[in-house]
Amino acid sequence: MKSEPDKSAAVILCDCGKTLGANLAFDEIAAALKEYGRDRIIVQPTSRFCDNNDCRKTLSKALKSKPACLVIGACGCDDCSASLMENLKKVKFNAGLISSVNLKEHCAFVHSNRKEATDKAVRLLVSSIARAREQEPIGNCIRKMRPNVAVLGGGMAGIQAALCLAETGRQVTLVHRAPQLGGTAEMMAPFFGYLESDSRAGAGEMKEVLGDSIARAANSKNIRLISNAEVRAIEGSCGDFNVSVADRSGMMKVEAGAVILAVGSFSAFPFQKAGIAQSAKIIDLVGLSSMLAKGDKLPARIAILLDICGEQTRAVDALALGAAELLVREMKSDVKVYCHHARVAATGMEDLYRRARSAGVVVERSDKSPGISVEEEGIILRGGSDDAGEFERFDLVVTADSVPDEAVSDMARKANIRPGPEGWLQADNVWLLPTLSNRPGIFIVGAARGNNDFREAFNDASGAAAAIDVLLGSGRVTVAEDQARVDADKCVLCLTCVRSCPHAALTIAPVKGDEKPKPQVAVSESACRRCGICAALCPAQAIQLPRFTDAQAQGELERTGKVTVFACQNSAWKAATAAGVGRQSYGAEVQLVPVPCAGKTDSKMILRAFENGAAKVILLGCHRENCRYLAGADYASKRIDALRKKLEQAGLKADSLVVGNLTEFETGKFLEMVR
Amino acid sequence: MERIFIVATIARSSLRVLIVGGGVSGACAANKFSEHGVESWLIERKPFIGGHAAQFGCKAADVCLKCNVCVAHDIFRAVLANNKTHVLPDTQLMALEDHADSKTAYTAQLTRSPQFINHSLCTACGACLKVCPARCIYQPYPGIYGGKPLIEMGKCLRAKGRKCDKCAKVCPFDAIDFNDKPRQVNLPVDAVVVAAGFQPFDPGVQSCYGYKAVPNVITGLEAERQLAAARRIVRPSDGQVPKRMAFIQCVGSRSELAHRRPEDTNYCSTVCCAYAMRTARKIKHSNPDSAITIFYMDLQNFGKNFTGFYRKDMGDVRFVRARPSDVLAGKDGNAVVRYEDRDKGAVVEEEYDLVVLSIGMRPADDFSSLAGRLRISLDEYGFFGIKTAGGLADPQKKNIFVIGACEAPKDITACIGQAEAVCQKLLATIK
Repeated sequence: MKSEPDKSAAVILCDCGKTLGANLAFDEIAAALKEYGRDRIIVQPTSRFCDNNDCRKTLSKALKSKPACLVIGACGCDDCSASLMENLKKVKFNAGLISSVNLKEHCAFVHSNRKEATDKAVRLLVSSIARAREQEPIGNCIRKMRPNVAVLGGGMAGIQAALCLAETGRQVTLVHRAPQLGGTAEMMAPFFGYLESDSRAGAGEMKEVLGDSIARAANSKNIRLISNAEVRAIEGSCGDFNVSVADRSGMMKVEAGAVILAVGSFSAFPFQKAGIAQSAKIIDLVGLSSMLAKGDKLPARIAILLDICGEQTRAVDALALGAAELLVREMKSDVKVYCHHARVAATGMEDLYRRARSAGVVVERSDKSPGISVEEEGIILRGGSDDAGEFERFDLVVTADSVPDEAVSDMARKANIRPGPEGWLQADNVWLLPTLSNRPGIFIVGAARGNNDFREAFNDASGAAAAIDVLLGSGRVTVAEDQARVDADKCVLCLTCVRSCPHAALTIAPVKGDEKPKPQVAVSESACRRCGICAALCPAQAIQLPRFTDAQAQGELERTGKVTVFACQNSAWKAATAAGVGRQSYGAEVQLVPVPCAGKTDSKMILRAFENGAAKVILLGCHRENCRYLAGADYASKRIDALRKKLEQAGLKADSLVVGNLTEFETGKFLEMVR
Repeated sequence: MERIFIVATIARSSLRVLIVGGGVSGACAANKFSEHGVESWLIERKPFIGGHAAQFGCKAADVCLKCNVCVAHDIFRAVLANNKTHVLPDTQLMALEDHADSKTAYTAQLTRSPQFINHSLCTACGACLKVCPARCIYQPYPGIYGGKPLIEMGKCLRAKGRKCDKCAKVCPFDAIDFNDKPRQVNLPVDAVVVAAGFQPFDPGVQSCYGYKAVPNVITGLEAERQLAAARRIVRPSDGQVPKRMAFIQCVGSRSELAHRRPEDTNYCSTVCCAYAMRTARKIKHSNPDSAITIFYMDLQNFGKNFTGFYRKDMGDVRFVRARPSDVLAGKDGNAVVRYEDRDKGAVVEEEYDLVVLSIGMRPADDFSSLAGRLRISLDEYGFFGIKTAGGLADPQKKNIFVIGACEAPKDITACIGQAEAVCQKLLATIK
C-alpha cells in the first residue's frame, strides 16, 4: 500500500454562518489538524461555502499554496456541488483530488456534547486527509458514440420508437422477425375497442394509427427495415453495439450506439405447459383473431378464459374483453368470460367493461379457473364460480392469456440482460423504470417490459428516443475517466468480474501486444456505473475504482470510530443526513464511511476497521431489489455474512459485525442500528 | 439508474417551456428538458413542490415493494438542483396569451405570492426555527429540501398585524425578507406542459363509509402520510397499532352510476389496489400478528410479479370480494364493516380496529378554470384526458401538452413515462 504522509493538503472548514460554532470548536479542530499535518496542512475557514462567490474565493485562498489535495469540511448540501465543479474548473484544480466530510448533518446536528462532536470532527477530517492523499487526478476522455440506433421488434412499440428517432434525424435499423410490420396491434386491431367510447371507433382508430405509422416508417429515409430476420446476439457496449442479425440473405452485423428491445408480443398460448389440449374447439386469442380475419364462421356459444397461466394484466384484459364485445356485437355470439379479476386499470377500460356487459357478455369472476373437459356435445367448463358443481357447455373456448414466449426469453440471453421475474425483459427494480434495462444503452419498450398498457408503449418509445438523444449526443461525449480499472498484471482471467457485473460493462477483449494478441478484461467507460462491485469481488484484487481505491478506503479508516458504519451513499448515508436534519442524536463514536454501493465493501475494509480500533462494524445498504446497481445489496449481504461467521469462529464477539438493509426514509432503523 | 457520466450535455437553444404543477410529473418533465438543454419554468401553487408523491411513505418491508416513493424523491431533489429549471412555488397561471407574430408562441401571466425565506440564500442552519415565537416556521419534506424552512404565513404574527422579525434578525445570511411582495410575472414561453395532478376523493361525501363519523376510519392517503412520518400506521383515536385492519377498495371509483352524485365515478383509479396491497404487506411484516382483510371488486395487476406477490406474499391476507354497504361505529372507536358475504348469501358485520378507505383520484377543483385559461378541454370524467390510440397528443396543435394524473389517473411510473415522452414530443414538434 502506497502511503503519502508528506503530501500537502488544504482543508476548508465551513461553519454555516458561524451557527455550527455552537456545536463544534472550530479553533480546536484547526489546531488538531495542524498538529497532525505538521505544516503540510493549511486550514481555510469560511462561513458560506454553498454560495458561489464564497466558494470561489475560499477555493482560491485554500489553493494559493498549491496543496496536493483538498478536503472540504462542510454540510450535505447538494446545491453547492454544481457551482463547486464550475469553480474548480475556473481555478484549475482537479475534482478527483477532493475528499469531503459532512460536519453538519453527520456531526454537529447529531451529537449534543460539544467536546465529543469536536473530537469526532477531527477524526473525520484526519481520515479524510489520509484518504485525499491517496487520490489521483481524474481526467475526462472523449468517447465516440455511434449515432445510429437498432430497434429490434416491428410491432407498434418498435415502429413508434423508430419514428421518434428518425424524427430527430437519427439513422435507425428496424429489425423484425415477420415479413410485415405490425405485431400484436396488426393481428388484433379489431380487439382494441377500449381506446374510444365507441368500440368500432376505437378499433378503427387503432387500424388507422397503425397503418399510418407503418407507412411513415416505410417511407422514412432514416429507417432501414430488415424483415424476416432473427437476432442472434447483441455484443459490444453502450455507444458501440454490434447486433448480429440473420435474415434470408445471410448474417449481418448492425452497428449501433444504442439498442431498443421492442420484442414483446401476444404469443401463442402455452397449451402444453398449461395442460390443455389444443384443438379446433380450444384455441387462443391469436387463433381467434385469424379466424375473424379469414371470415370463418364462428359457433354460437363461446367462452373466453383468462388468468389460467397466472394473473393477467390490463393489456390482456383489454383485448379479451374487446374480443368478447366484438363477438357479441358483430357475430351475435353468446359469450362468457371467465377470469379471476376484471382488470380495468387503464383509461377506457371500465367503459369497455360496462359496454361489453351491456351488450350481453357475461363475465364470471372467481379465484378458481374452471375445469375443462372436451365432450361429444362440446366443451364443458366446470366449477368456475364459487358455486361448485355448476357447469356450462360451449362450442368454442378461447384462452386469452399472454405469457412471454421463447423468443422473449431467448432475447434476454442474446442481449445479455437480466429479465424480469415473470420472463418479460425488464428486471424488477424501480431504478430501471420506465425503459431501462440493466445494460446501459439497451432500452426496453412496449409489451416486452411486462405489464404494459398499449398507450404506455407509445410513451416508452418517445421516452427511450429522448434518452438516447442525450446518451449519444452529437456522436462524441465527454466521460469522466473514473470507471473501474483492471490491472492486467494481477488479473488471472477468472472472469468473475465479467460474469458478475450487473451492467455487462466488463468484457474480454483481445489486446494487441508486440507478440500475438492476449486477451484482457476491458471496462467500458460508458457502461460502467462506478459501483465497485467488481472491485470487491475480484479474487486477485486486480480491480480498483479510481474514486474508491483500496488505499483510499484504508485512509478513510485512519481514525476510525468505535462504531464504524459503511454506509451506502444511496440509502444509509441519506438516512443519516435525514437524522441530522431532524436533530436526532446518537453517540459520537459512530462514524460513517461512505461507499458507492454496499457491494463495494470487502473484507479488507472491515478487517482494517477492527484493526484500527472499531468495536463494532455495521454495513448498511439498500433493501434487496432496491439497489441502484441491482445486485450490490445481495452481494454485500452474502459476502459479509460469510465473513462474519468466520470471524465469530475466530473469536469475534457476536453482533460486532452487523449487516442491515434500509431505505433513505428509514431514519428510525438507522438510529436503532447505531445507538 | 444514474445517467452516464457525461460531462457535457446537449446545448439546445432558446426554447422556453412552462410546466404547470410541481408534482412528480412536472418535476420529471423539467429534469428531462434540462437534460436536453431546454430552459423551463416549473410553477406550483403550493409553497413547496412534491405534489402527492412526496407525501407517500416508503413501503419497504424485508424487501423493496417497488412503490416508487424513493424514485419520486430523487426526482424532486434533482429538479431543485438542476440549473436549467426555475422552480417557482406559490405561483399560479392567470392567463396564457397567444403571440402569433412574436418570438415566442405565448406569454404566460403568472402571479407569485411571496415566500419570505429565500432558499437560494438559506443554508438550513436552523437558527430561525429556534427563535420563532409563533412556531410558524416549518421544514417541508426534509428529504427533498434538506431542512430548508418556510413560513406558514397564516400563523405568522405579522399576518395578524404584529411586528415581529426575530427570524429575519437571527438569519446569518439575510435570507428572510419581509419586503418580498406578491408579483405579476409575464413570462414568454414557447410551450406549456400541464401537470396539475389530482385531488384525492373525499369520502366524507359518502356518509355510508363513516369517514369523520367513526374515529378509526382513515383514507389511504392518511395511511400513506402516517407511513411517511412514522413508518407505521396507528389508530387516530388512541395511537395504538391496530390488530384487525380492513381495507375497502374502490372508494370513490368504479361506481355503477356515473355522475349521478358527486361521489360516483365510472373509472378505475388504477393505483389503489397497488397501494393497499403493498401497505398490507408492509404492515404484515412490521406486525406479523395483525389480521388484515381487503374488501375488493377486482384486484388490479401491478408490478412485474403480481402473480407471485398475490399468491405468496399476500397469502396471509384475507381477501373478500364485496363492496361494503356501511361502516358503522363499534365500541372503543372500532369500525364495523357491513357487507354481503357471497358464500353465506347473507349480510355480515365485522368489527375492525382500523378501516382504511382506499380512495381514488378525482379531477382537482381548479381543472375547469385552468382548462379555460389554456383553452383546452376536459373529458367526460373531468380530467384533461386524451383518449387517443396512444401516447400524448396535442390535439389542437398548440404546443400545450398534458401529462400525469391530471390527464387520467395513473401511478408514479406511468407519470414518469409521460414526462419522458413529452420532452421528445415537444422537441420534435418545435424544431
